[in-house]
Amino acid sequence: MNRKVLLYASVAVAALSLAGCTGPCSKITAINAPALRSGSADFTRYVAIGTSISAGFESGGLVDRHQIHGFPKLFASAAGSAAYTYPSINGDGIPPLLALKSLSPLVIDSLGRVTGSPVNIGQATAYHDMGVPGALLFDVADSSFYYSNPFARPSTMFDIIVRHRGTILAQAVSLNPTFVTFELGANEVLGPATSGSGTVSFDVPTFAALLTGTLTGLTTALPNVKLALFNVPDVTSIPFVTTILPYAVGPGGVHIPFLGSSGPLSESDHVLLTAADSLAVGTGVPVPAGGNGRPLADWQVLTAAEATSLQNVINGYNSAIAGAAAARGVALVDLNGLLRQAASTGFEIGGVTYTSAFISGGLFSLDGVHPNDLAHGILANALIDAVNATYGAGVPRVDLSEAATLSSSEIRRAREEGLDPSNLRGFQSEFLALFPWRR
Amino acid sequence: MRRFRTLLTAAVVCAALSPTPAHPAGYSIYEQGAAALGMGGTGTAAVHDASALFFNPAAMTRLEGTRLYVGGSLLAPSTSFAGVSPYSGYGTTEEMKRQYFFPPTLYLTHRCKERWAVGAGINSPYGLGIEWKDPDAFSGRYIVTKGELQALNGNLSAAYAVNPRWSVAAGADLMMAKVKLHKHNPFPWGGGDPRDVAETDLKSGFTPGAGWNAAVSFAPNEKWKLGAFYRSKVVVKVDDGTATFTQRFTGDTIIDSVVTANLPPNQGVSTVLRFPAIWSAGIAYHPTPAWTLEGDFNFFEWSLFRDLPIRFHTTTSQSTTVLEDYDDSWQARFGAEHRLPNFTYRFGYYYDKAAAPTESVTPLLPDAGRHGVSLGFGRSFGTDNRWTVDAYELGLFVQDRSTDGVERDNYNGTYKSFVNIAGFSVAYRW
Repeated sequence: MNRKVLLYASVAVAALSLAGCTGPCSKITAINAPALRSGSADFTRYVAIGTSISAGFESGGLVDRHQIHGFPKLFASAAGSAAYTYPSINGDGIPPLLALKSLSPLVIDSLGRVTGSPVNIGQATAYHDMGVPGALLFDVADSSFYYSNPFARPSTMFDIIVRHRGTILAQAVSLNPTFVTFELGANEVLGPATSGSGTVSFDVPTFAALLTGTLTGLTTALPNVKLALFNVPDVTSIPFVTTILPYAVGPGGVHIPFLGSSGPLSESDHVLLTAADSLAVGTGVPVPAGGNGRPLADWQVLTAAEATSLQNVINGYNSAIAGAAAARGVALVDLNGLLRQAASTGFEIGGVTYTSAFISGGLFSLDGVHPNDLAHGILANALIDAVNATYGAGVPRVDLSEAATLSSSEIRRAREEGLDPSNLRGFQSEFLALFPWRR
Repeated sequence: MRRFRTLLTAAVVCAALSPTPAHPAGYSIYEQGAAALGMGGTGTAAVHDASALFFNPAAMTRLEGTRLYVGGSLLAPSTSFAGVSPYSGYGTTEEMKRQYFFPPTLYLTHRCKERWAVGAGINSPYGLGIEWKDPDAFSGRYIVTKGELQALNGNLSAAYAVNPRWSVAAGADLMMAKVKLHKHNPFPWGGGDPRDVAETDLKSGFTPGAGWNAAVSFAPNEKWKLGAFYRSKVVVKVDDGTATFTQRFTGDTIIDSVVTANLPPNQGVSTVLRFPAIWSAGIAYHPTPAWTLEGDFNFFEWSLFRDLPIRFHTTTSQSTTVLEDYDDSWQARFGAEHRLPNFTYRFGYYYDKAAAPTESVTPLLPDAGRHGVSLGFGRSFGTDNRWTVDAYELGLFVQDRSTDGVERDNYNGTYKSFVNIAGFSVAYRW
């Protein structure tokens, strides 16, 4: 009897141990994205007003394969906005995208690229993505500035996106949006930063007044619209500004300052990516360190004083933007904080640390200025978090493993194109075309 | 004597198999005696076999003669993970490889004259073993793909009966611990998508650490028994670990050449392994001579596990510290034993509180609270019932644990685990 009990018990124990996995030991069920809740907002018709960031501009160009990864497109998908349109560009983009040809030496250029063309430029309605590369806050409610000649800016992007159909603001309003993201102010400081100037065209009071006027214009035309305002990133911490150190490292680790237009650079001055070509041929490098002793041009260097001056302007702009967001009770997206984190601790994502480092950091595209696809995913989530908090909404976050892609443009092997990898080139001509801001 | 040699051989073989015990929670392994585990892991008050060396050494004074005890537990954990956005994303699921672990127990106790008893034992009170399926595609592969922590503890204890009611004990522990970690290394491609460009393997040999224990047992009358023990922390400093870096070629010559140029050399690595102190108190009641009911409360000083430092000897700038910041935790255990003339059966339940704060719920150690339900049988054989065989089955229902979006590596989702445990022991007294 007892032997039987023992036998049964042993068999039961063995059976339990070897039994297949069901019930408590079965694999977990996948978690689906929570259902969308719009809270007090309405995402039915979404329009993005902004700069190249809102346009999905990456690696020196605007092209469909990155536009679809831009934060407005990601947000429109996550928030269930219907019929979201953008000015799609095919081929290798406009301008043609940069490609990484070699890491050592660093060769980045757009040789061999096929310039794209606008696909849906005939679209009868305005685009939902009214992000315009190069756009200033001033441009939103003004249509003469970018087509005529106060600053002689190239109007290619305006021709493609704004299409001479009235102001950006009027076109946005024409879509009768229920939700608008407003991301402006970066170009006001980016132009000076990337051409070595500390002077901006719009001082803080002017910017603040323009902001109030533009937002009031928007909300007067669309009384029920809900907004999310982006503040302005510290453009002095982008790879374009931070990648090249202001000195060479000599024997024994001694720092040999490069030469600027007013003498040797200090360690807190910034040498811009546009100086790479010059440094490669010895310009800006002292003769004892193997250079030709000629100084770098003023536009190749952002001095510490110029950087500080721009940061003060950025802080002023951001106070105005934060004030406007608070006064109107709208969402504020801390783009400045995101870049600050990228430039300091970085972002930890699934065991990978992403930083603002050029190429290896994984957040910036090859132009050293614009966020790449993954960074747009992070941006979209920052927008979603701000919107959810402000409007009591439940927009599901973007899956960063899907937002990230292999290509910020494309990696091509130098040898395939018959390039001589010993020459560092590409930056000056390519980047000057991108950022033609000169004063 | 031949029987003993067989038992000893079995135990030594078990130990030499390098047990890789696994638990989903903390890394304590309390499965140190088949009879006690049948009773939900209670034993601090009423343990009455040689596993007293673990559950309460002071109770050794109540074990007549010399006792040899060989046993072990088969642990079969199953763990899976469901991700959420932003990473690893809604809809993703991951699963650990099905592994079996066998932490052994070997105890020898001897009562000398009336008052003194001594004991020696080997067991594996801590351990961890995880391995995620399909490591090349596992979404947490840049954190860990495989991890092992093994600890073999040698214990010597002496107990003294102050009087028929009170006994005290003290002992020394020598813990041999080794660790192994494996992960993949990423390089972010232009659009931020990482590719695997290398793998890192860290491992150490068995390294010693010392600890001690003390216990008290009190049997005021035939109905009641009380007991308590303290097992000190053991800190093992590993200085002779090895780090091996293996490049994985992506086919992209630009990136591959940069990785080749920057791959750290294989080198020595140091770490610190921390095994927390345990405080235990138990009370047992015998409503009739055939029944024992026991409740134990165990307190684990898990706050000792504040981090896992990884110090590379050559490329020191790559050294890192994996923050853990565990909280102290506790277990409440309840069990019953019914001794029938020809066999004994037992059952029990316990709750074990999670020690990891939510930030530290990682693919390496997805700690969670758990409910254990146990059932056990025992029977004695032979002349004077000198042989005793015990067996138990324990279902460990681990609570689903969400990282609530705050995990330090930003690897977020919910972990689900279950551990099926079955154990046995064979004991002989003379």
